[in-house]
Amino acid sequence: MVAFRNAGLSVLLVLLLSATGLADDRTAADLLPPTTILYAEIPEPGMVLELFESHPLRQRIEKLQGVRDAYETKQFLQFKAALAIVEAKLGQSWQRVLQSVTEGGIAIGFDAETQGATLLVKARDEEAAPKLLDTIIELARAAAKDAGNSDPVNSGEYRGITAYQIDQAKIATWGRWLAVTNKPESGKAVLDALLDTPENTLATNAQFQDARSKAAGAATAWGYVNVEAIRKGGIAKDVFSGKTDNPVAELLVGGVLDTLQHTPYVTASLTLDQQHTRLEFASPHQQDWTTEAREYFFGPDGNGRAPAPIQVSNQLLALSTYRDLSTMWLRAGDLFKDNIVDQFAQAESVLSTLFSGKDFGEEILGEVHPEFQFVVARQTCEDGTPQPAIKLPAFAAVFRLKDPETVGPEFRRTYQSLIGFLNITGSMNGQPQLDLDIEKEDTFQLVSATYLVEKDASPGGLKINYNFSPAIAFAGEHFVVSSSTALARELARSVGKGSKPSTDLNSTIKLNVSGVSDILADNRPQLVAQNMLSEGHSKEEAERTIGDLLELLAAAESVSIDLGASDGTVRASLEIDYVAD
Amino acid sequence: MRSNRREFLKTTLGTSAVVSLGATVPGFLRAAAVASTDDKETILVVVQLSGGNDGLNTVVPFSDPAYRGSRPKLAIPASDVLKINDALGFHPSARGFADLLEDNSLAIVQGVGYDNPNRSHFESMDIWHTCQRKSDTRTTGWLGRYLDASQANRSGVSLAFHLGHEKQPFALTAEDVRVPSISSLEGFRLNDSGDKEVRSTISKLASSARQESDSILDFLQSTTTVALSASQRVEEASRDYKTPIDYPESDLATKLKTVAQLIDAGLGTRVYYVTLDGFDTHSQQPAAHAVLLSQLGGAVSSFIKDIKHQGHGDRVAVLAFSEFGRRVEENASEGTDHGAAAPMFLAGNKVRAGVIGDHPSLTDLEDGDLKFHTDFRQVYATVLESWLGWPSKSVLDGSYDPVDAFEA
Amino acid sequence: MKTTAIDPTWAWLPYRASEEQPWNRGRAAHLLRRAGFGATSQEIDAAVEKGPEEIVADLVSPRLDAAFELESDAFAKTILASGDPKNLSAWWSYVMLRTPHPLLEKTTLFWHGHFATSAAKVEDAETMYNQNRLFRQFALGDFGKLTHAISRDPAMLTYLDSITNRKAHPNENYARELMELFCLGEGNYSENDIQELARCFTGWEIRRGKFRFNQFQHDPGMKSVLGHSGPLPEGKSIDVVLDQPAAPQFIVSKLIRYFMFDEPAASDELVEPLANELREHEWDISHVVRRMLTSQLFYSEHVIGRKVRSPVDLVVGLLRTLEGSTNAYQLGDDLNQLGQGLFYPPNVKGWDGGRAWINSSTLLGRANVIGRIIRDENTRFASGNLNEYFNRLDANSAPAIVDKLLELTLAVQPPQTVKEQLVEVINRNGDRSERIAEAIHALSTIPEFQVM
Repeated sequence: MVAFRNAGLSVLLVLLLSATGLADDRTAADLLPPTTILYAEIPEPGMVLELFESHPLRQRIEKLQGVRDAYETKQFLQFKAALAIVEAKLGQSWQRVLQSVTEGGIAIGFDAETQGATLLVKARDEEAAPKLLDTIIELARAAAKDAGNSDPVNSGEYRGITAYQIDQAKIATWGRWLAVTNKPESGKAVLDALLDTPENTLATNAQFQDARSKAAGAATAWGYVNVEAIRKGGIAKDVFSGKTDNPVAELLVGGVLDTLQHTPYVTASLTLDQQHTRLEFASPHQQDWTTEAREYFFGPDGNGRAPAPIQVSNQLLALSTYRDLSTMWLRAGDLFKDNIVDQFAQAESVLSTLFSGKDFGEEILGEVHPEFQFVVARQTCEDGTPQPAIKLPAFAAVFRLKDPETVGPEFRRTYQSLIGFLNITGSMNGQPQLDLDIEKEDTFQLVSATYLVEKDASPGGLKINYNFSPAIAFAGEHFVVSSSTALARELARSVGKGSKPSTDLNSTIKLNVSGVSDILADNRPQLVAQNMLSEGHSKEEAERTIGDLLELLAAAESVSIDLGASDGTVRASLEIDYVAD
Repeated sequence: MRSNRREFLKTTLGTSAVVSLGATVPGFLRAAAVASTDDKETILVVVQLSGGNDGLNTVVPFSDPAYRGSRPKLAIPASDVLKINDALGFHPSARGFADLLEDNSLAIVQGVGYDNPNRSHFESMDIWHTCQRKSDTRTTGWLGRYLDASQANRSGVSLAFHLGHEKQPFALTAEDVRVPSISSLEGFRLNDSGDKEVRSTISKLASSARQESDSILDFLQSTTTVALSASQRVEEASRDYKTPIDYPESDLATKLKTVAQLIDAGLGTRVYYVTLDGFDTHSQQPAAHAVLLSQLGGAVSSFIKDIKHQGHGDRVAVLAFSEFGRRVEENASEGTDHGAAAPMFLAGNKVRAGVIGDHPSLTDLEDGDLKFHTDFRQVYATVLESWLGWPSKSVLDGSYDPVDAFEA
Repeated sequence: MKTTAIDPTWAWLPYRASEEQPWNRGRAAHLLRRAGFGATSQEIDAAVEKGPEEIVADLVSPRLDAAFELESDAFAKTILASGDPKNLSAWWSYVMLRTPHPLLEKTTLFWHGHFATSAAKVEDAETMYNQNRLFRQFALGDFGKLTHAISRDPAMLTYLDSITNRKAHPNENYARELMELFCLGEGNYSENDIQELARCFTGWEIRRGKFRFNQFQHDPGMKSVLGHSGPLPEGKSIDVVLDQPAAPQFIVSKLIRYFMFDEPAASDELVEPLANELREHEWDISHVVRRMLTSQLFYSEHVIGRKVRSPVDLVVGLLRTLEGSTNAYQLGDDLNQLGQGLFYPPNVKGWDGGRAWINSSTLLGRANVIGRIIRDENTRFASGNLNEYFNRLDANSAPAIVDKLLELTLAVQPPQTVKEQLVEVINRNGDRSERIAEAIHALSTIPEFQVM
């Protein structure tokens, strides 16, 4: 009987709600003005919360000693107590509160006209939002009273809706909506939109619609930036000036800077699940936006493609990209600010001395094709090579030569004179000597130099030098430069077997996280000692910190970063894959 | 700005009042007052050009056919040089030096070097720093010896500063005096929270009367007072420091600008030392050398203009030197190799502007290098005697004829 | 107040607590500051309980167990693996902060300044570390043996340009420094003695970072050093130098300056009794150090507050006093900035000490360094912040905190007005820990903070 009555009540309630709140199928974009230039939304916060609760990463983090300790600190206990009070007030766990208040989604927008930021939250029903607001107001008042301050909450009325102000935040609720903003005009605009359903909103903005239509299916969070408006507003001029003072940044994202000078908007979408985290930025792109100076980046017709990534054993990182380094070097004057151009001129002088008088930009970089690869791999010293005390990874670059017949021997001579130079300066500084060697197989030739092990080497382990056995290799048109002979050999063998088709990306980087944690584990005593010195820790504290770091790294499998331009869109993505439980 | 400092001296230290009270004033206050009345002392700013500057392409003998003959690729065309006279001209990038010369503020001492020149960077630099050869026991530098000798009648203030991150130059190594190396103005300031109350507490703490008389504590108290007033002066000087001079963007310019601020703060320091590295141009010299000369000329000329503007023009001189010049013949990679004699530069209101001494012959060479006719110690002797007012014989361990580089 | 007025007989009598010179927290703190790098409040309590004799006896003969030595050696070796001698400064700063044997480290630092060798020239981290181990091994041991060992030390010979020493051209550098700076002092030898002694060291070489005797380059002829004639092979010539009466006099007077007072220089009469004892005890440094630290003189006004704090005394001292831990790399850099770069002494004379530590820029530097360290995010006091630390010492009110701070850090108390102003600083609004940091920063600028 009782059950029936409750059921009846529920039905009544549902009917009532659907008549008012539930009928409201508007989204935040329907409520924000068309002049909104920044917009971000989480359509289903409840899912994010659930994922957060059950994510394997979270469990790993909670097991860490450092985090367990943090849970015991006074601050955290205070925070927990405060949370408990809020929960008691609302009669629900904070998770439940959050779920019901945000069920219809969270969105934030920044309006260029009013310079106001507005947060819009759509609740499950018409009770949740006001109840939360009441609690917030009550707590703010209690806290102020406790501190001996006057009432921090002001309130006013607009078109029959009561709006509250706490500090800078203006808060109001209407139906299932909760709106928070920092500018009164923005607040009024939102309330107007809620009451009147205006004709022009962000949702009717053509650019926004275009961005929306291209958005990939089910993103956990999605954001939109009206770059055109920002550019016209004269904000962040440096980003749009086209010249940088950071050569590394230029190499990594220079081509994108051109796009930013023309593109109408950029979108970002974040996708989360138990096994992956993926963040993707996308923006409309046209080949003719690329300036001549930056042709080195996407290639003359925008067709520059990264070669297929190479796989080596114990790989830590593989980068594969299209960058016409020679053109970039020669175009430095158009790409960089004056002080950096000066540095290029000085570097040219030094490098040219090193490369026996050759012009570095033209005669060295100019001899290789723009597609190149860079590989980093852990060294296991399994082939009996000596073990240094600090174990560094090996790294190598793979290029294709334009004219292997003539350039090959020249590069080899340059390499030999460099090794000779290193030996002479090394002997003056008491460093070990490098021993040259040449080996040939069917498909490649390898020139290497290995540090000779001193007879009375230190018992504490070999010097850091022994991580290096610099080598170059020639395999057909491929040219390998490597910090280690073993890696050069492996690469020369693999590229000698012929190459796979290119990717459809401009650049792709993959980091093997378990490899990183292996190499850290190889150097654990060093890391512990360094942690003791740098943080003043005792040995036990340092062991724990390093242990936590390794434990955390063990959660991730790989991190990939891709950059590509095709079909009128430039895309950059970052993806983290986690170890499956 | 100058009036600000004066004001500070009057109100905070009451210099004249303190001095006139004489013996009744505690020792530490007298020391502080003395340390700030240094407006007349001359100041030397040394600019070291590391790597071996190509003197021949800095002060170019453009009308000498032998110059073009030895430098088929690197010779600066006669039409490009900034003319000094009918035979000599500056590298087109050394615009700053040309401006200084025009302004009667630059002396070029030609053909400077030493006997039996060493062509190793380190060894030659050590010779310039210590005035001694490798076979001698070298423990101090020439400026260090000057500092040791002249410190007797000073208290508290650092006589010399080295500005930069590199290792401290040997020239500044002394037996007794320790020269601080400082990378920015922050090193001259008490780094407190900026809270006024804390400031006043700190100066009250230092100046509170102590009952007992104890020579170490007296000394500490007077040095603390000097230090706090120096800190305040540097802070006020840098806060109020406004200059119409637009220093170029380079490390050297930034360092010299800091020196200008410190001089204006009236620290009582006599020697500042800064370095510009990168002159070892064995290959692809033209672009690299042009950048360096433009940085050097731009920084020094802005500095001299600034110093004049602040009213210290008559008591500041800049000395620029390099460990050696470069070979007359260019090499096959559009560069030049280590050489010997080269010009030195002195800049400031009081230098006798113009070229001092003949340009060394480009045909009468020693091992392919220019022969020196002026020993670098003659220039040091000039700076010590005519500028810093200190007998050079014991500092340089010998008598060297000064060159006529300063106005009487 | 002048040392000439000090009666040597009275000076070296064992200290007995009296009404004028009571054994109290002040004197216990004085002992622990001079014989180490400052002490915590609890350590002072324990020292008051034990009395000076027992404390000093423990300090001069540290009980080094093998496990401890093994572990600290492994730690150092790990740091050395990078090959950068700069890391050694960080390593030694860390060791000084945490060592259970402060007097051993302090005396090791003394020998580093005495047999000064700089990594700026030697460049090799391991060579420098091996020398440091040598200093620690003999720090409170046999000075004669240390001198013999240092004469063959690769770092020392590299530093003094004595990697090769041929009989045709004897290198006088080491011979000169051995007499002038290491054993006798100026005026106790002639130029001829230097030349003769240099001949004894011919054939002493460093090859590939190790000492080697090259008999083909050794001059086996007759030499006459300081009145002793003979071929003087191997280390015999070093014994001749060590047998000079000036030798123990020279070492004891340097130890007095290091452990007792900067100025004026100790008179010959004051030095002589301990110099004789050093000779009688066959160069046992621990004996004279113990005698100094337990003497009447040590606990008198001639010594208390009569030393200018070195940068190590200042910074490591403050941290140890407040159980502080911090970023040791930064600490090593700070010490260098203040003029006491560990493993980087300025020249072969080592650090002059005394007033030479002080000028206007080092004074500002001292305050800036202290201000930086106490606010550094890596600096913790017994794993907590300053407010928590003083709460644990039961110093809760501002006056209590200031009293504690002054008692722990100062040998000479400042005027009452200084205390009042520091109380004011702590009582201002704001985060209590930050206020205490502010007070310590202000305290670090006063003259009394620079002496100990």
